[in-house]
Amino acid sequence: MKRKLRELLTAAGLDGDPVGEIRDGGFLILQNYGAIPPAVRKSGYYVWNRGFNVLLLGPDNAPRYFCKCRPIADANLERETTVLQAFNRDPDLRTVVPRTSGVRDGEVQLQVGEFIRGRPYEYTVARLTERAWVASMGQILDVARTVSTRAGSLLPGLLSAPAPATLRAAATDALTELGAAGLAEDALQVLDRALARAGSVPPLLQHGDLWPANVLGHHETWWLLDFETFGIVQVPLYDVYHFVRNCWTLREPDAAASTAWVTRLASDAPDAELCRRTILYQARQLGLGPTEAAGVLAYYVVDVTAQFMRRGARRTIWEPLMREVRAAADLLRGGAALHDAMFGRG
Amino acid sequence: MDAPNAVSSWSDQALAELAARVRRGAPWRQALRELQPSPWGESAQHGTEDARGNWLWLVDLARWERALDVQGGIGTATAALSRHFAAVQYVDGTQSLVEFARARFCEDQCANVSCTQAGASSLPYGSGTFDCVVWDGALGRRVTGVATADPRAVLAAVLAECRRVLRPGGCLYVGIATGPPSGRVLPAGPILSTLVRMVLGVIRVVPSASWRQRVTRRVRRFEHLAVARAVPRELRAAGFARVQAYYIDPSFQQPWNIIPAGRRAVMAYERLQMTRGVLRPWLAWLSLHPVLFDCHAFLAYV
Repeated sequence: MKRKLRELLTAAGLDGDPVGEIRDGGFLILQNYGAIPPAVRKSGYYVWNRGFNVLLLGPDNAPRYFCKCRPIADANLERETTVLQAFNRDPDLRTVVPRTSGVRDGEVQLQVGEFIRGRPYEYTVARLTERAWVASMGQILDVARTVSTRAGSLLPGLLSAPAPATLRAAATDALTELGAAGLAEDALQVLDRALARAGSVPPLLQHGDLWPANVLGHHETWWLLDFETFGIVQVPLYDVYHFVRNCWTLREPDAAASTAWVTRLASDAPDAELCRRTILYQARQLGLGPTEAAGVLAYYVVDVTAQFMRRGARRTIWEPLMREVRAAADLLRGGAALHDAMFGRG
Repeated sequence: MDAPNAVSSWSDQALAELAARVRRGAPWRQALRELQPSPWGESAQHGTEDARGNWLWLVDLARWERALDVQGGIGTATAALSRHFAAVQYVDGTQSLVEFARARFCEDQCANVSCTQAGASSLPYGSGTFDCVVWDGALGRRVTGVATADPRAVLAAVLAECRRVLRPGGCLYVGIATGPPSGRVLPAGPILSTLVRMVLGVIRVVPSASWRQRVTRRVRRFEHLAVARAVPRELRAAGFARVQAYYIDPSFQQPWNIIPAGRRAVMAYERLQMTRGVLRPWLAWLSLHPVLFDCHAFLAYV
């Protein structure tokens, strides 16, 4: 192992000296997606500002630490390390996020975290019975809500504004980007009206990428992973929509490929009713009514699509999300209120 | 092997065309893309290509001054080395590839890289010159100056030369894609070699193409065992004191995971791969893990 990496791992010192107990052959490079140091083109910008992860095995051959190695310019890892270290100080959150420390030098930044044993929810959700699915979704979303609620006091600097924000104002930039990408003017208008009608919601720091691959189940407890974008989205219920949509997609990939999720959510399908109930329950816990919940749905589909565009993802990646935006606009055409179309049947 | 495109499989004509394009002033990425577009798109292509040098974080060197890329191809490994070492030498026996590499590093303003045309078995450097030598895609291309294509003879010739130019404490990286080149199986023991050759011979006469392909792939997997045993032996024979073996998964072109070639590391890795077959952990447990991976890498220290 490069001496610099060894020194950084030692300096991170999660449990004294993590390197000292790692034997030869106990160091695995995983998710090796970008060079460190990154390649710099003639123009000087980073070609690919990512890095790799490292799995360190302990003396008992079991995975002991999971480390993320990134170029120093990677702001996401810095954010995640700050967030996780803050959560580690909270006795309740210590049991749902991995113990973490961070260290950096002039070339590389390192995040060293305790390896969490468990099975990603991504691999179990499709095989669960309806009842087990709804129960587990509820448990996971409760954990995520606890994290978000505590984060407000643990990381007050992340909150961009303490006052409630109007959904319409929050979605303005995203709608402009969707318009530039070809979303029809009438669709933009009905979405804008729906967002205006939903009014404002109190800010709540969101995980931002809460999907089943970022949830580990172990001995009936749920661990949340990957907080690189934590707090960027501050609209409550955003994580709930993201999680429910992805769970349902994993359970019914064929239906997800053929019909927009928003359309299915508004349908009479049995799973749709389960999803709506889960969403409304979480909304109530957050003090939001059906109108606000429907407004956040419009915000979610608009924002998540625009986020992928901003990252420079190919059209094939964001086009399915654009279909969700169009589906939400279709529900609103003819003057229907989104909360009636979506939640009015219960 | 060169990423993003397997230059090893390119004809001399294609390589000449590549050199001609950069000579005419085409940017090197564009020249490569025009000859063989990447299925992943430009950004993914360069991200993956850049990441191919991250094995350097596994290397334990006292000095990071001079590095050599043997059979450098389109310069992927050289580019990675140039970000870690003060001075990097690129060497290739093919004139058109050297021309391409010169254009590439000139365009990228890599002031610490210089390119030379030379065969891998007769490196034009004094003994003990480099801290690190890289031979990526070993046995993937014919070695200039070695009359035979016999893998054992090629390994012996090139590894001895790599050992010669390394300083004490220096490290050689050998990346090798399996199965080995057509013709002869590396000597993992005459019995295994003979068996694999016999089975491959029988498969060739079977009429069903899909069946033949499937079985050939399975038989080739047993050649991985041969590589895993033969290359460390050749490295030690060339005078390297310490050899560490790794697997690169899924391929050199997409080197997403680098796993130490040991039972416990492979088992830990396989446990993380939730979607793979149930047989793989068992093969790892039986220490047959070389058959699980198509790309092997070796770090050998002087």
